[in-house]
Amino acid sequence: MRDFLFLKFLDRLKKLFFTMGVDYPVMRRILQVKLVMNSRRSATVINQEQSERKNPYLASLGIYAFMGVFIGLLILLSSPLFLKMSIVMGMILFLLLTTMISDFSSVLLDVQDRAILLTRPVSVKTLNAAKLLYILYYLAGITLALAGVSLIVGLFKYGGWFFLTMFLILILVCCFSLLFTAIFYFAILHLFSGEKLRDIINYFQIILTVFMTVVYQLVGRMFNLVDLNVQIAIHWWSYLLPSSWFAAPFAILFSGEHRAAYFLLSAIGIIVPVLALILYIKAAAPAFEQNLQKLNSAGGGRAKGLSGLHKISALLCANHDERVFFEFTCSMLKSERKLKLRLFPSLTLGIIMPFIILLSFAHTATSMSDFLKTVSQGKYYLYAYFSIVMYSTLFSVVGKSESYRGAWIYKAMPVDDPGLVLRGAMKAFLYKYIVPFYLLTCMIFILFWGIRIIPDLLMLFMNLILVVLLIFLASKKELPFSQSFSNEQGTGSMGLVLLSVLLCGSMAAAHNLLITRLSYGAALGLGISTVLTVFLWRKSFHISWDQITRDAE
Amino acid sequence: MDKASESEVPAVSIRDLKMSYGDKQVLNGINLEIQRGQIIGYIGPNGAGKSTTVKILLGILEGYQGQVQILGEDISTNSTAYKKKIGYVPESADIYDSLSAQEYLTFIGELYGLDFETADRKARRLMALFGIEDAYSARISSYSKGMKQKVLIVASLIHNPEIIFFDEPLSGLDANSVLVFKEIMTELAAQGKTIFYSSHIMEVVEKISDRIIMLNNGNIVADGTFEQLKEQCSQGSLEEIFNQLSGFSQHQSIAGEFIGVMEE
Repeated sequence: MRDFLFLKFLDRLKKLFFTMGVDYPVMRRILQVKLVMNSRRSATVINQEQSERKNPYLASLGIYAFMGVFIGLLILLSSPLFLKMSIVMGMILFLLLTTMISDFSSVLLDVQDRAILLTRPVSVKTLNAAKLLYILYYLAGITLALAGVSLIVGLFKYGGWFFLTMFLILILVCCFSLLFTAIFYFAILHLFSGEKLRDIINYFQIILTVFMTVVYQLVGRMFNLVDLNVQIAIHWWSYLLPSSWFAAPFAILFSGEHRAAYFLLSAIGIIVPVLALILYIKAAAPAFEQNLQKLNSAGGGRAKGLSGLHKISALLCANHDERVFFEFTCSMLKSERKLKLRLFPSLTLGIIMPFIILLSFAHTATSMSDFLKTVSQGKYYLYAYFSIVMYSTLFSVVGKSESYRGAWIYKAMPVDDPGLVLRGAMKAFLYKYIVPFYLLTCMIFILFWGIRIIPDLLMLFMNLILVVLLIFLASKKELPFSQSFSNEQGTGSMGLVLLSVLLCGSMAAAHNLLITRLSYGAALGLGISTVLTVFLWRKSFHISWDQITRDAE
Repeated sequence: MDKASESEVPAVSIRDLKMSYGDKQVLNGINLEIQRGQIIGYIGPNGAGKSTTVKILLGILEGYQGQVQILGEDISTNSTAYKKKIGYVPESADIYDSLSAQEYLTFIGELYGLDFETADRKARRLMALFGIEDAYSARISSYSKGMKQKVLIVASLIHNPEIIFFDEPLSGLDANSVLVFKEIMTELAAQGKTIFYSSHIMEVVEKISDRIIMLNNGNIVADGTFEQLKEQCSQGSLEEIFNQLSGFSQHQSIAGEFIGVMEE
């Protein structure tokens, strides 16, 4: 088994571990196994030979490093130091927290470790030390990938002390993210149990991901980066933003702004992680393992009638097989937590995206009412095409599932035409998620622009279906819930997003042209789109088993 | 401790063991004394508290009341040394399946205090005896259910433990491997090892157990050799005894109804 550099580094701290009562050799061995498994996370049952391909962890670090380049470039801007460091720290924090909440949960809430390791001569303390170090290793890797460029840019622009300060602050940021996540999970574990607990964790993951996604989108746009010498106003809510705590020390040390507010913010930035650490050690950690047992206890579910779903499926699907898979997809979409975690952030962002982009124009207006007036009179509702971009590539998620092994049923059941399966699944996906979220978008839009835009919204809806279908045609055909999440192809989906952007962009241009030139442009557009959609819908689901097998390889 | 006095210490001694999850009482005061060199058939309906007991004995579950001693050592003292003398095959088949059998088994062996070479050598030979040496360096995720089960069994025995907990150890094994495995168990018991055998397959429990303990609703409802239980309950097979003691007698009417519904 590979010997990791990290482990060799830990060997130097051996004595420290022994004094803490940790069985070092055992911990080292556990850690080694964890690291090996981490490098194999995408191993699947099907391609056991193939899975020797490149380390997915390193690949994800590459993506973080890529984002890190953009974050680092922000330091080159000439805007006030506090502002840009707020953004830099905010982005790093955001990305760290999202990865922590989504990936860390599998480490923290692992009950398998107990069954495998605690039945062997391994003490709880040693296991926890191994877990903690594993998480730290993971966290350090991501942080370095994200902040590496920022550190180097800072070194050249502001010198060695900046580098050192930022390095120390990054350590604080890491501790903060780690403790925040741990205490967050502890609180949820404490309050709920069993299946309910898993649901609640899922909801929180969704809410947090959505929240952080939105904040992330907003933060960058709220600040007006053009103003160079603006006096930064510190509002009461600035004290609630972790990004400003961690940015304040830079303003004090490197741009000589000795404002009381900055000192206060810096102090909070040190006090909060320390408090969190105390809270974690004193309260959370000891009770954590105890509460973890709750994950195993089964809660009783309520029996629910399916008659409503039957009526809808009978209405929407003519074919029997299609109807069966429509209902199946609906039930799965409702209950698969990981799936929801993937879908909801994008769906919510789809609603908010047009407004986020609108807001970026806000600073050009003289006053808020002025801005609203300009917006409501223009054709800004065409920004709904941004929503379509967000929605259009989501169907591929339906092909994934945590219980993808259950997909043997497709082979075992007398299903002649996989096209029917996919058509049922597509209808279910549209019915369950796309249509409701689009309707919500429409309602908000009508509030802003009035009922005059209804024809446009109808045309937008047809175009939405059209883009969803085109993306479906361009992507691999996967039977619903048949692939593991770890099997996702990053580059492939990037290509689809680009395609979607292109499609939506040209549709938006065509839409704009139609309604500018013709008085009934929207109606005409709706007609054209409907014809195209119906035509495409008829063509899209001629899929053979051969194609499915080919795409699965 | 010298050899003679060591053999007098019971393998497992449980006094007034109680456990509850929240307000749900799972074990209502269990008392047990188990001597060495026995195969204990540990049975009971689902939810009777079997795996809770085993989990407490293995030290995965805390927060119980009562006293539990393994080989004379109280397990609540937080020492993990006693676990070196225990082997465990979990029913849930928990395993790190992204590792190869070699990686997994040497890892487990080293946790038990063997050095890598010894663990590797023993693991390879035990796998070979089970007829799956070829798969030794392949990832466990590619294994069939039976192969996985064999790896779990090897992992539980690699350190030559004194007490072994088998929870449905035969699941997925083919008939030949089952024969080998049963023979291994008998041999181990003859050498003075203690085996806790938990299963829902009554025929096997009936044949291999020296003593049968049955749990129902967190209480011990039967404890003795198969012959003793047979006398007590005046039933012919362990299955019937099990049904009687767990108060279940409608199997025929349920089966009849089942077929009826199928044919509707």
